Amino acid sequence: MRYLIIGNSAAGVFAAETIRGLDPDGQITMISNEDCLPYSRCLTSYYLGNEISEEMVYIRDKAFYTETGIDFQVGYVVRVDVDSKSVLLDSGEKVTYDKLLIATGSSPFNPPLEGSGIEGIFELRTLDDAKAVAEFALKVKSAVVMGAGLVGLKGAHGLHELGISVTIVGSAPQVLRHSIDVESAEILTRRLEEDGYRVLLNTKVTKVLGEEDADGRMSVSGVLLNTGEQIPCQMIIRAVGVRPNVKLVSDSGVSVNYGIIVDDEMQTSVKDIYAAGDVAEASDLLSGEKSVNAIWPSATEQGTVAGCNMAGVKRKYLGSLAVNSAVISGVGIISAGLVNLPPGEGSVLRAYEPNKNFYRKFMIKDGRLVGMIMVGDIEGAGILSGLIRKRAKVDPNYLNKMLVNPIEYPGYLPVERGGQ
Amino acid sequence: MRVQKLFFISKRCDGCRACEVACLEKHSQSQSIFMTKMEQPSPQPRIKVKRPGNQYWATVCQHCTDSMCVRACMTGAMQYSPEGEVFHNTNKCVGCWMCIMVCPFGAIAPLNEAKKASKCDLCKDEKIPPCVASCSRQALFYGTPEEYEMKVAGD
Repeated sequence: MRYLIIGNSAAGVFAAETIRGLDPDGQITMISNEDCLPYSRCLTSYYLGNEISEEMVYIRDKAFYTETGIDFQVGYVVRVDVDSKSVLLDSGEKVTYDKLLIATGSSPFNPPLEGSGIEGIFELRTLDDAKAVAEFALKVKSAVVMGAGLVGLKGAHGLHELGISVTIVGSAPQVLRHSIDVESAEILTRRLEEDGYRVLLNTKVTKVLGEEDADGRMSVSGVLLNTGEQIPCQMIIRAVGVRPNVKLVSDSGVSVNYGIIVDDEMQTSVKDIYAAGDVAEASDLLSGEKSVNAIWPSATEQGTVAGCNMAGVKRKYLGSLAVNSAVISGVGIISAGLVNLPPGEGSVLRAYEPNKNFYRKFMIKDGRLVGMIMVGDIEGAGILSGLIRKRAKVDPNYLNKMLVNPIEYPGYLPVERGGQ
Repeated sequence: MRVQKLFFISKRCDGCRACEVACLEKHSQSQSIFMTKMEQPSPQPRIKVKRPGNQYWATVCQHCTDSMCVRACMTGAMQYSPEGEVFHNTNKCVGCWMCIMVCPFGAIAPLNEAKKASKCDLCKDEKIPPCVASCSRQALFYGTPEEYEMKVAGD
């Protein structure tokens, strides 16, 4: 059996390891357009901020490909040819497969921006991006980060660690709008401001301002905001969003909506072609609707499920649960499931101690926990996300207690009555 | 693959928390319960005994075979050992708390000062983990799932 995996990040690596575990003799090929060991994109901002060495960015060590017997090729896949069961690389080479996994991830999406062609504008997605930012940052005193999502905030943190004065510009009324609610976002914004960041919400960068340097090259000198304000800076990081890398399957017969649509075995509309990770549009655990859930734990789980099914062992994907964890300016925040309930539906439990940066919100619908946010003390968060994942009926008294106390295992597994 | 794990037999536990003390000592620099208070960063027990309902419950890593934490770990710090235990490489850990976000047992604790996650490592350098050795009620058992079934069969 010839397995071909396009992409060597979270989904690709977990799929490859799963396949190898189930099919010791199968021929596994991984193709990536990045010539390096698998690494974690989530760690690029830590690397940028000098918090970790380059070595630590890699999620597997040097022996990974040889020990697992994976043939690793560098190349950019231009097209998937369904009929001949092969993929075409930009070098002109064709690689055939029996089972194909598309784990190409996503790429930064940048809407048109006036003045964006000049030096000093970066993205923060790949390790090469992080290296380029780190090098350029040496000659920078102030920077603007466009986007107040996870990538934006973590990129801002990396620059802040280097002693750069950072302004975060977000178009939404709050930071992390996809991961948390307004109240918890307020805590984080306040903490960021206390740490010396400037956070501008409901604001957009309308134009990049440039000036000629000594060599006659144009480089960033500031940005113009929709409020009319000008912010001087020597560097810009654009982190307003990502789009799934689906181009390789256009006109191939593989169904694409926003991402590549997959069934609960991670198979696409074409037999023997699977997709997993940021590029895949799989079922959402709570709503049941297809959506792209571009987070690390979903990518690895989807990769594992795809790997099982590709190797002939049936395994169903239970659906993606939106979960996020971040530490922003020293404050831990974890969310799972819904972050806001639609008006009039279910009930909400909330505890808020602004002085302690402590916030908890539990969302309950039909007797089940469907969402939670924890800020500050995050220990035991997995117990609650586990309850959401299991769709377990939850005792309201238990949740009320957990609102302000350390999260304890509820003993929802059957336990016999104690003798004491 | 013969994976040995920790098993907790709830009805034998009387909540004395000797396991917590043994764990704390083992994972301290001084190896002494009396000195641990002075250590920085302060060591934490990796097993915790609580009484959520009418029975004691030991919160400790279950070394799951299909682990949520291994899949959620964005650094590669959580990985399976060749024997199948969940091994946490603290050198790689950056304290993002993704493992804490998903562990359904709540068995991973954040060490905030050190920015590292902390969980049971089964004390592989010991013949019997100190928590098990310290348990006078034999509520903790270290062995394979089959051995555990044999052990509790007579209860």
